[in-house]
Amino acid sequence: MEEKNKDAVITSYPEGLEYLAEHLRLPLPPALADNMEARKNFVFNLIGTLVRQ
Amino acid sequence: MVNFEELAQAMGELDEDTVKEMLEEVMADGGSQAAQAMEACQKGMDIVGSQFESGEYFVGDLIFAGELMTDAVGILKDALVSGDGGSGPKAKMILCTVKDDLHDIGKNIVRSMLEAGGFEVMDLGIDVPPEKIVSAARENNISIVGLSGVLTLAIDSMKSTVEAFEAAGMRENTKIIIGGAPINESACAHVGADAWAINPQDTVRICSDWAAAV
Amino acid sequence: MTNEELRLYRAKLFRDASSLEQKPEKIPHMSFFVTWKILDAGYKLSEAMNDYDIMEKVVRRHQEEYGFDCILEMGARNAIRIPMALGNCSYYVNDEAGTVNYVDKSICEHGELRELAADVKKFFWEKGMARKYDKWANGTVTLEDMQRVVDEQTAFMQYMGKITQIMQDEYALPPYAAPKGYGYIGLDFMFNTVRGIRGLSIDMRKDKGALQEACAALNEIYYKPGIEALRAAPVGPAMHAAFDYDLTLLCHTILNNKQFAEYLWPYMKETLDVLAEKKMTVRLFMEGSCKRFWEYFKDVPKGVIVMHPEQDDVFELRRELPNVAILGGMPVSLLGTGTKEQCVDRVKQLFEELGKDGGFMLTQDKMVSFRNDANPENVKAVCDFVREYNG
Repeated sequence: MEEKNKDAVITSYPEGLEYLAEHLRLPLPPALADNMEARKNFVFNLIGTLVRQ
Repeated sequence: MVNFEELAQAMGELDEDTVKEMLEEVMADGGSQAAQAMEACQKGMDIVGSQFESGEYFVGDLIFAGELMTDAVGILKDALVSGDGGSGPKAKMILCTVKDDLHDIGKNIVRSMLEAGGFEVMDLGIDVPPEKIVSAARENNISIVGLSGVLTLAIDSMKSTVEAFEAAGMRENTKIIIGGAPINESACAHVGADAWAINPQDTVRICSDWAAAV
Repeated sequence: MTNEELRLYRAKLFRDASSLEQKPEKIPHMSFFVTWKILDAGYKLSEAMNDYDIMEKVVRRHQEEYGFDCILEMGARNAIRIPMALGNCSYYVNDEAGTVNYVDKSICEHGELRELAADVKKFFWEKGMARKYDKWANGTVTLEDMQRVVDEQTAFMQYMGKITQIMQDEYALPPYAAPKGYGYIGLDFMFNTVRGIRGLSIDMRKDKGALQEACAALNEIYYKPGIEALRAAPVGPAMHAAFDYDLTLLCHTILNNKQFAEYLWPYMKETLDVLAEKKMTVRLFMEGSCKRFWEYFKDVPKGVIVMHPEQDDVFELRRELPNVAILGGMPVSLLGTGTKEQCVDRVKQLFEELGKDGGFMLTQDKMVSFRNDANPENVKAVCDFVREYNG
């Protein structure tokens, strides 16, 4: 239930971006794996791809 | 008092604000001049067509013109007699996008121009199988059919539609025009259609000639 | 020749033809067969588009059957798996008809253009996504769903990397393009995704100011960084690839001449100027006809533009724009409904009239998608003739 509640933030910006950037397993190189800026860029680019598909 | 020449000009210039303002004025006056207003809008669409032919306007302008015309009809409709602008019975025709093709922008532009040109258009929509087109023509006694398609496979669907009219014994009495991105003279010959067009004005001209000959 | 030598040789054929200075040893032949090759291999579209192993077999077979010098599309449609991981997709696959149709869906209303302009990221995140994906709209999307999306994207990127490597190593095919940056022009983005055909046509007339603001906002995120990356790249083409850059445009198909000059040309010019400065080539595909804009390309230096005309006449193009190399010329209509002889005669004419002094590369005039778009026997006849003609 708690997990579900946390997921409710996904569709809001910028809270959803922060949440996904923090919790998703992302295919970033080791040097960038803990870089929050890189993680957020990756997630936003993914949203851009989803919006364009 | 609305100046109908100015209304036609405003429609031709795609001046939405002026067109709507003038049409609202016609309705505010009781709507007795709705028919003349409709005619002015149709003249305006002729101007749009000419601008397209001369290269000033392009597809986006035709789409906008179609939207504006639809809005114009929406404003005037309650005052129009029998939905025909008081101009008398119209020639009927069928228009659709053929089977397996979902594109409708071109078809919708052509529909607007045909309606502005005095046709009552039965728009069957998109992805329309041959048998549905044949049935609609038979049941409504319509002898002019326009087929639209953007994908290359539309050519096959158009050919099947022509063949369906032949199988139904209706081909001789039906005029078929085709249009869309992949359409050219050789596609028309392959499909067996009576005519093809790459712009809506040609479609209106050809269909008007056919309607006049009936 | 080793595979590596052959691959570099093939890349050089495209480079020489593009240069308009050097006649290539042979006229190169590129494949623009997209979903057609799935059907030609005997698979259903949904099978291949959802299975990377099958798609790999399709691409391998395509090269083994026909033998091209470059293949443009090697499974890009398989990206359908990414949005499907979230439950919706704008592509509608009809296996019975063998068709893929794209449903034109606008993610922004006309009245929202200024909202989009104010914050593109927020708009895409909250409204754009909700309009494309039911789970986003009804707030039921989970972390697990998004992880699936990430994983699907990773799998897709891995497949594209793998198939490119396979075609290079095992079939000696150069990659189609190797861009060092990519500037996605805001207006084309508006057309393709944000407002769609009808929406953009209305915006052009109804509220130019709002449209301009929205385009500017999109350009900040999607165009400028890409062009800056291109500007920062070292001078010189990527000789291992057929072309450096791909510019595929659709929005011009609704623009009148004034709108083209205002909204699209400035960005195209900037892109072309940067490419010219970097001595890079661009394969320019403007859907439909772009003849009414040819005058804009007259002053672009030779060796930059490789134009791939869809509806325009290639012979007329050569006369009007002798500074532009040509990729194309083989009508899909002929491959589909013509005879083998007609197809071969067409290639002969292209080679003799356009290829005799260089500056020409053969491919199909439009993306080959549907089963009846091309008769496999005709495709084979063309490929065999190209090989024989080239010695």
